[in-house]
Amino acid sequence: MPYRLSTLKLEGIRGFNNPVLISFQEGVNLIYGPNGSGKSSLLQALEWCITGTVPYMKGGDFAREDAIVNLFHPDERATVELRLEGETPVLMLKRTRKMGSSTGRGRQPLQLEMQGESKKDEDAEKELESRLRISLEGFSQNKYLHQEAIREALASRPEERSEAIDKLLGTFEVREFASALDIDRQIDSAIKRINSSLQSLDRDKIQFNLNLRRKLEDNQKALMSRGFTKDELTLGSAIEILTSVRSLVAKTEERFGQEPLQYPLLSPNVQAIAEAQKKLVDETSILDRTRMELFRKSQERVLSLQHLSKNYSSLLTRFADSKAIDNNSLKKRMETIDFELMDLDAKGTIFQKKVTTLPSRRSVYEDLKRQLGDEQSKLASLEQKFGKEETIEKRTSQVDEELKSCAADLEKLSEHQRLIKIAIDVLENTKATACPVCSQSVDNVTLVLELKAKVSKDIGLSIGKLHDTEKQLKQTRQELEDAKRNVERLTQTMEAVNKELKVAADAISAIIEKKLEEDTDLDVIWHDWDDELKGVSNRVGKLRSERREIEETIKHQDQLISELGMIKKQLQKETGSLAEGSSLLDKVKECLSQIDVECGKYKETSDIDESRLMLTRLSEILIYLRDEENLEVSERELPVVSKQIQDLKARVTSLQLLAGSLQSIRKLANEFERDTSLARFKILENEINSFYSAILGHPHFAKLRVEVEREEPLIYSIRAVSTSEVTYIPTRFSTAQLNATALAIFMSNSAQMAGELPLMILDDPTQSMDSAHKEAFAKLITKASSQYQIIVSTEDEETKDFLVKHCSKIMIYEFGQWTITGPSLKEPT
Amino acid sequence: MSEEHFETYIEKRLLRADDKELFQELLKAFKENSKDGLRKYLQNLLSQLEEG
Repeated sequence: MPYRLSTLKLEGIRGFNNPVLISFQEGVNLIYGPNGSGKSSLLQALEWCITGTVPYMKGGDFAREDAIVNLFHPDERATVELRLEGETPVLMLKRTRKMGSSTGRGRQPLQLEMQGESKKDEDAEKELESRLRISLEGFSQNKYLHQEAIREALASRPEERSEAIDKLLGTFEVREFASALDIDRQIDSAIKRINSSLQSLDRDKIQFNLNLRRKLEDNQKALMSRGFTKDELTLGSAIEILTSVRSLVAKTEERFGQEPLQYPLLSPNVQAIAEAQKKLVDETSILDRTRMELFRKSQERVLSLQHLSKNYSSLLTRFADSKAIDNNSLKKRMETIDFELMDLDAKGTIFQKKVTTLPSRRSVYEDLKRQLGDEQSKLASLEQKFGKEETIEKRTSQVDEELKSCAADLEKLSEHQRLIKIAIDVLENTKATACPVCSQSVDNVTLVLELKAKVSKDIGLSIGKLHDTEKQLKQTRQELEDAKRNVERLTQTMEAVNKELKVAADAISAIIEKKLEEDTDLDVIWHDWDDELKGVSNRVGKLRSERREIEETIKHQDQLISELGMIKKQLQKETGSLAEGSSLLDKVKECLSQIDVECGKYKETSDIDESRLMLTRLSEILIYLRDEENLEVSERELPVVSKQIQDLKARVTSLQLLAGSLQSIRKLANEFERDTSLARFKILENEINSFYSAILGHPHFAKLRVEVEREEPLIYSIRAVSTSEVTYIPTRFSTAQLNATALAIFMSNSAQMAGELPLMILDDPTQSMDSAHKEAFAKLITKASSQYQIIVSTEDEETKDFLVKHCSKIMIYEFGQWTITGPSLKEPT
Repeated sequence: MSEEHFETYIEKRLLRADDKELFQELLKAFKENSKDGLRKYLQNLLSQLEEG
């Protein structure tokens, strides 16, 4: 009895955090749940426990296997334990992975327990392969149909489909091996690069050598045509020329009064002579510049001496002429002018003050006079109206008397009026009919009326007149009082103005220096002063002008003396003598003759020109000698270049050999892949077609046939065959039929490679199938479950229902929503 | 694939000893680090041969 999976214990792997125990039964085990609920994680955990790898997680994600460890597990450790039963002994497999740990073989070691015996790592894997009679490397192809493998088989590109078929058959690694060997293009590029270097060394170097020789020969011919001899084109000749130039330069330096340079000993080689030649060229240039500088300075000195001597001569003449002017009498005249100017200044100041002050004083005086006239007019007008002050007082006393008399009259009339009123009251009250005094009978009513009329008419009228008189008297009195006050005020004002007038008159008298009389004509006085002031001003102007002229004359004289002294000193310095006047001018002439002789020396350039000519000739010889030297060096290098060329050629041969070897190996690997795959197909053909027909492959093309369409890389052509026709699958088949084809290839291969572990793991096997294909698949699985333990993972409810419908013995693990603790798993049914 | 079968198949058919030796080296690199390892090995070999 072969082995079968019994239990799988998971913890901390992929989506599983908390420990989970899964029991597998013989026959069909269905893992059912929505996408992302952990179904594929469970299958990958199983694969990892057996093989130590997860093929579809290779590369970056699977680096150091950390990607399989659950991020939320408290120990960050993945553990999977698998129990295999059926045969004796029972096998217990275990793999663990701690996050971040390192491994020697690139994967975590396997622990294998069997009846108390324990094996580890490679020993455990070998023991397991031996017990199960399978290759652990082939487990992922033979036992486990990944959902990705089905997707690849459905791919539109023939290369991808062929790769998927290789994965199903287990020949994919050979394809990978062969494709990695395809580096023909890189080898070609490397050979091209080496060939390029070869060309530059081989052809260019030799060509360069030939060019050098040709150039040297041409150069020699050109030099000889210009008068050079063969003997001159030698190192000895170059040294000879250089020595000659050196002695010529030294001679010139001496001629210019310079210390000749000391030259180092010459090494007899082109480089040393070329350097010495270059230095001599520089020295010759410096020497020529020095010569020109000395010549320029001599010329400047000549011009300067000529100019100074001309000026000196002219100044001497002017000085002789100016000696007629007597400086002392000029200075005395200046003193006299200064004294007179001081007097005129004082006089001018006084007149200026008088001329300025008189108009203002006069204005004040005349204003006061006008004011006094006005006040006098006002007083005269008052006196004309009211009389003099005594008259006003007398009239005031009279008015007062009249006012008193008027008041007495008014009092008397008022008393009369009061008494009559009393009498009327008595008459009215007593209604007397006889007079109380005379007892004469009276008409009371008439009497009363007459009395009342008398009182109101006569007495009233008299009183009214008296009041008017009193009012008029009071007004007159008021006017008199006002006139008196005004007379007093005017009198006071006039007194004050008179005082001020006197002060003003005194001030004017002080200015005009005589008493101011009524007939004094101030205008005449002022105009006299103004004329006087103008006269002073004119005189001052004339004196100042004369003084300036004298100053200029004296200054000019001093300047002439100073300039003459300065030029004399300069000339004495230039000529080196203490002579003066015409003797000094004679000395200057002597000096100019000497400088002229020096200039003649500096004009001479024949030595320098000859040096330059020789240096140019030497330069041409040196260029020739350097080319000759370069040719010798190049010819000496030729054997070394040949060796380099040989080495590069050897490299090309090695690379060509490598390319050939790789092509041979690649070709053989492709042949192996092709032969193995076709052999597998031959062996599996009946089985494939049996499975294919069972899953309703195609209604017309009932069989599949695999052929090689192209080699390198190997491209399979899967053809569907009917009794009379053959067709190319991808153009005729639906994706459901391609899905069925992939399943058929996997199941037939798995059946062939069952060993002691008849197990098929199918992850999402019906992903592109319709209902009819799904039901056919369910029937096929039911039939196969009698021989194989089958694990099917799906999220498809229809597939589940068909499996439940057709499988009498099925265990269902239903996955719910995933949480941080892991997938929620219902009790198996 | 059967690894031994593949090795034997290729070795038998390679005529030159140098090629056999190279194949063993290539196979070793592939076993150790799969396709990427083999590519790296070949690149190194290529550089060595080019640079001498």
